[in-house]
Amino acid sequence: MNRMEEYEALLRQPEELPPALEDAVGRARARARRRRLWRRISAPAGSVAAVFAVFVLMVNLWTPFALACARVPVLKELAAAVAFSPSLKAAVENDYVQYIGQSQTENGITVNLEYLMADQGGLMLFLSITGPEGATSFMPRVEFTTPDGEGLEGCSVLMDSVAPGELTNAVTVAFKGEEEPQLPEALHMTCEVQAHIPGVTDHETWTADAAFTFDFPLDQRFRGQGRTVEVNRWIQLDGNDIRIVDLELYPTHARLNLEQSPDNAEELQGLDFYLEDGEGNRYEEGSASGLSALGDSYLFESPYFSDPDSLTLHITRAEWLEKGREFITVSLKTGEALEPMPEGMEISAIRLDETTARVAFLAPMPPGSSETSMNFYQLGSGSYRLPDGTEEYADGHSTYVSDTLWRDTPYETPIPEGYFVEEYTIENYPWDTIDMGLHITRRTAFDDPVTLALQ
Amino acid sequence: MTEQEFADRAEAIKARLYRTARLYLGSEAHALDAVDEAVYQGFLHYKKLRQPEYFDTWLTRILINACNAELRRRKRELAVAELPETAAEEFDALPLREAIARLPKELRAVIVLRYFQGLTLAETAQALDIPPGTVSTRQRRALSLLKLHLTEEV
Repeated sequence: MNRMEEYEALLRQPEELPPALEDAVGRARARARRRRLWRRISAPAGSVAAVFAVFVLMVNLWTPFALACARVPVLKELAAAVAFSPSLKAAVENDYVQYIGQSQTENGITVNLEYLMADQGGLMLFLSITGPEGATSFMPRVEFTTPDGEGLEGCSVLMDSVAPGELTNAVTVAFKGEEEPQLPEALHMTCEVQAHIPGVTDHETWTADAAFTFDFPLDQRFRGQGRTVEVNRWIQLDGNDIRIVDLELYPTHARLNLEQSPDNAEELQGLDFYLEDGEGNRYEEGSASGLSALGDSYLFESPYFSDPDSLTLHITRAEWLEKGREFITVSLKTGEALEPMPEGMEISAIRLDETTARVAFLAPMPPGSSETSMNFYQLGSGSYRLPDGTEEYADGHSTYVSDTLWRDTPYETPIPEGYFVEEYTIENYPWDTIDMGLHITRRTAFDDPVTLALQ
Repeated sequence: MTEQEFADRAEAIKARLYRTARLYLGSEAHALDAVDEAVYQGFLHYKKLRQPEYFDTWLTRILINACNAELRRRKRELAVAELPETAAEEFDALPLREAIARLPKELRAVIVLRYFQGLTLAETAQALDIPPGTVSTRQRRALSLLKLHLTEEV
């Protein structure tokens, strides 16, 4: 076979297409959806408000509705669903859970509303969903009202997708803590469900494959739960004055409430900490709902049921934003900052076209990071300022580790070893300089944690 | 262009994209990754495509960029300038598929698009974002290396 015959043969040779090619478009859609979700979460400063902005459905008023409630022995399935959260695990072990046990089916989709837990901090619903074969997950979208049609007030509803048949804390109502919420005696819940079938479901458009309504009572045990440990002590943390106001201990989570001195040179932007009781049990920061802070109120796993005699606060890391340095001016012509960058942080910028720019913050990964454990932290606030001072949010955001910055552009630049990149895309920006918002200017890890006995 | 139109058109040419990537990268798994990346990038940016009639070449261009990114990761590419003097003889001795896979990526892209995807010289130039004259030069060089006597016109 000569070269031309070889060419003809190669051209005619049927190429078997891999089955995975079948869903290439579906995968792209799903990936784009995840990206958008991340953009929505992270772009507005990664603040609690931003987290709310993603999942949150604001609801309005609520009034009581009397119904009886029933308690049923806790199942292994529920124990598994709360195993990741020490607070919820302790709550379940202490029978702090209400069985609902309602099931409805519509359009081939079944929702089993199984359990709920509630306290002054929030309400968590555990449910499972089954549906058509091929569905890999289900997304619920819920609204709460009283049977009178009035909504909930002062709270946000967070929703999570559910794997087929898996009991999940899919709905959480988070009370914002500004006012003491009054749990109603019962709730009316409308619940739409979208089944995710790869290659079939259009993620861009919300389509309810089934809609349900549930009415259920709220166990009166959930009302008035929680206690406050007053602290009211000022400490100097990393050169700034912070008042430890109090601890709020609820069955499902706990809160460390702080106050910052207005005279501080820096704003406290983040805190890593844990609490430890006299027996060496640790209560880590964070909560089962995924929220970690509400302003200066930091959430942590609750010692409510263990009721320890003593609690000591250990602060391991603090993040600060210097007052007056909330923005940094960057030239889109040279790609460089026009004023000094915070220590340890670098910045680079390019213009993709006449109106689109990209700005990247670079910073070293913290010690202990690896390829499988990326400990990113937030560098930019996600916002920028127009020349007239108007603040806007960036149109896109991603955080990554790579060896090259601005890949596939004429501006390819090596990234220092051990650094990560937080990159923002800004559209409709024709000007030559841009003020990019900073989230932090300093990050201190305390080799010896700052400790304070609180109780 | 709507999202559905993008999905339909990407669906229609995905097999061709895969064959292109398969020949360009020489690996089924890498080709699949490149198609995934190209369709994803296309999905993110289809609203910016001002002339939908150029959809195929536009997505092919994204695919070639995705393939090049893949090649960079593999770091096996050989720049044109680095071609050894004896290259022509070496290419002559290889089976055609392998010889194509060994071509420098700039030449390989032209050969794959022109003679396996059936793009015209102008379409190839558009897909690779290079002048038609450069396509012509590269295809002549590649055909010579591969000892293929195919038309260089159109």
